[in-house]
Amino acid sequence: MLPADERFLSLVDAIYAAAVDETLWPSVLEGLTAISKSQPSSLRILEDRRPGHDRGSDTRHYSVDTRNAGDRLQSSVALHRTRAKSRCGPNEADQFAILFRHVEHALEIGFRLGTLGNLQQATFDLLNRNPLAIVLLDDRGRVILANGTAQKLNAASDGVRISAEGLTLAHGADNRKLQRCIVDALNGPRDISARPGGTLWALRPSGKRSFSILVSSLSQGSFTMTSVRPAVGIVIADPDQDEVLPIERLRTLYGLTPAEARLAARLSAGDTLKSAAAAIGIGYATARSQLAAVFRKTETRRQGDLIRLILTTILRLPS
Amino acid sequence: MTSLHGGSDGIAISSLIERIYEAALDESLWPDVLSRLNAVTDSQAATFWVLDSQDELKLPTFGYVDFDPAFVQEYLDLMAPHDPVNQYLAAHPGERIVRDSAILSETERDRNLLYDWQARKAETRYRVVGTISPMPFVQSGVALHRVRTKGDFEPAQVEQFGLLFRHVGRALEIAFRLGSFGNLQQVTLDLLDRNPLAIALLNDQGQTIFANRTARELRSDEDGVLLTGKGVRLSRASDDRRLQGLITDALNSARDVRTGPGGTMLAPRPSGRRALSILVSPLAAAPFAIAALRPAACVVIADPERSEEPPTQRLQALFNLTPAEARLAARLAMGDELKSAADKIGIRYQSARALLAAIFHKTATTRQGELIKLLVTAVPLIGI
Repeated sequence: MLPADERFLSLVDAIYAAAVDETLWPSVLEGLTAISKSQPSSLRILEDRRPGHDRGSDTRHYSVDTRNAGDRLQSSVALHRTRAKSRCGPNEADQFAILFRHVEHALEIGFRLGTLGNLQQATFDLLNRNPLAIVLLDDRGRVILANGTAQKLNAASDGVRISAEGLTLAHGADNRKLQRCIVDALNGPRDISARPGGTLWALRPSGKRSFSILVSSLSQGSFTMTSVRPAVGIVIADPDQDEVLPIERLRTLYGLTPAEARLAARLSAGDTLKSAAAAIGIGYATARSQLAAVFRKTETRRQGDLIRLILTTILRLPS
Repeated sequence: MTSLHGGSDGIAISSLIERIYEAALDESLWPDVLSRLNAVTDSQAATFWVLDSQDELKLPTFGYVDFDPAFVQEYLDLMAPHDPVNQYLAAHPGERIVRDSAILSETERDRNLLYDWQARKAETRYRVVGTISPMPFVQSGVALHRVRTKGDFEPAQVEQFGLLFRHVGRALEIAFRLGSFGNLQQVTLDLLDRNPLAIALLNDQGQTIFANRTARELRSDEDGVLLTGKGVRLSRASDDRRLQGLITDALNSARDVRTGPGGTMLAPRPSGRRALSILVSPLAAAPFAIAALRPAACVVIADPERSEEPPTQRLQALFNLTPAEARLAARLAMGDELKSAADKIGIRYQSARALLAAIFHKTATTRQGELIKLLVTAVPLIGI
């Protein structure tokens, strides 16, 4: 086999195809095995530096290519030959050397794409579970990303509409203000310290409390060869978001009884002690003694303090 | 002419292919790739570019070899939108290999604005272009140019360019994928850094692979939370056992499909400050096996003592409050009672009561609890 013949070139092509799609590595290994007349071949990602030879198999000789992909992490491709076939000859070793250079490049690309892809998935997962609605727009105002809460807002059709073309509000005057804020953010200074950050309210057809919206420009990505140019970040807060009272979390975190947790949740929704007691259907005196227990267990002393504790810790944790 | 099938040049081709993929990771290597493509296809100049055709034709990224810099500058400043090849590419985004001889005949070329200009400024006249379209209205590729005296490309050279462009095209796709991942990454990590909660990402071994700004601050507090590359620990042994148990649970369920929301616990602090609320949760399974980082779980820590006074300017803007009203509202949002809020600001209780009445009116609230809830939830502190 010469480095320029058809089989060589198509194997090189397959190697780089695997760089972009890691599920193709097995067929690359098959190709390497066939072309080098060796028996099994393997791709390993090692978490330490002990590349041991497989026991219990009849392979004896192997060529191995490893590359360091990071601290304490290396990957290798090994071609194995059985004892009967003997070692690789010098020509075969040269061929491997050339082919393995391509494997090395392909693994480096694969590691970079994979690492970024994995981090991406994790940060998206967290973003998705943020209780605030978060929408990212590109430099043309088109939606790049709308997190789970934002998609719920869209589905609720209560004044906020998110489509591929962008973010719009049902109320005409509010929408004009939003679009102006977005244009300002698109044209605004990209310097972090000088970010404008416009705020506005969005009236809701349902008559619930208006959404509060924060629009601000994002730091420009440093990559020019890209299909994604995030430019504007929008956060939408729903002050009326009471559907999910954090009763379960109050119980598990602070050890509140079900009754205490119900009361604390009502207070954090803005009720007074009296209206909370009435809503739950308990007497005022009972509510007072339950509140005393809640104060003790949450290490708070005043209702304002308690409400703040619940809103800033429990309600902010990812769903 | 060099051929892909002529064995002795095999090493050169193999090393050119390597170079192409190195350029996928390092944009500065494209000129070297262009020079080698020139040599292999007997062309005299070459360019590498991104073509944006959303509005008018633009070339936001442009590299070249063997052209005069002044010629390129004038081309980019004035001529690029009039280039019939650019216009053709924008109208035919699916085509991969394009020759200008297929777009314009020799006589049409003589009457064309761009080719007329080119004839006066440079010797090049024939072009073969390879291009990919990573997204609508965006194309990227390389163009090889031949001088008039050499004549147009031979079919065999075009075929050869086509074979090599398989790799160039893939390298460009890789560069775009990395660039897209990279830009999104910057934004999402930036968002995590602005989150008032401390967030740490753990790999499948429980080792910390990312800690946001609040988590890094929490670590420097040295108040019960130990955050190292090895993982997240709590200083009190019984609490730590509980945390490690939650982490193990999260890692085990992370290996299956995503299960429930994870576990929560309270961690008292040696300083006596209020306990931290901790959530440990599995993350969606990492999609790539070939990767240096595989996030598997997250630890999210909320600190009830973290001072987060809403910015008074934002309160003023949102609720149309006066500066004095906004200062009072900010204290109330921090959990203060009216009296202690008035003391801290340095106003009398009577004035504070009057200000509060105005705040109730402007925020359409009637009770302090309701007001606190509105202030805390409607003023997003994640402030991107």
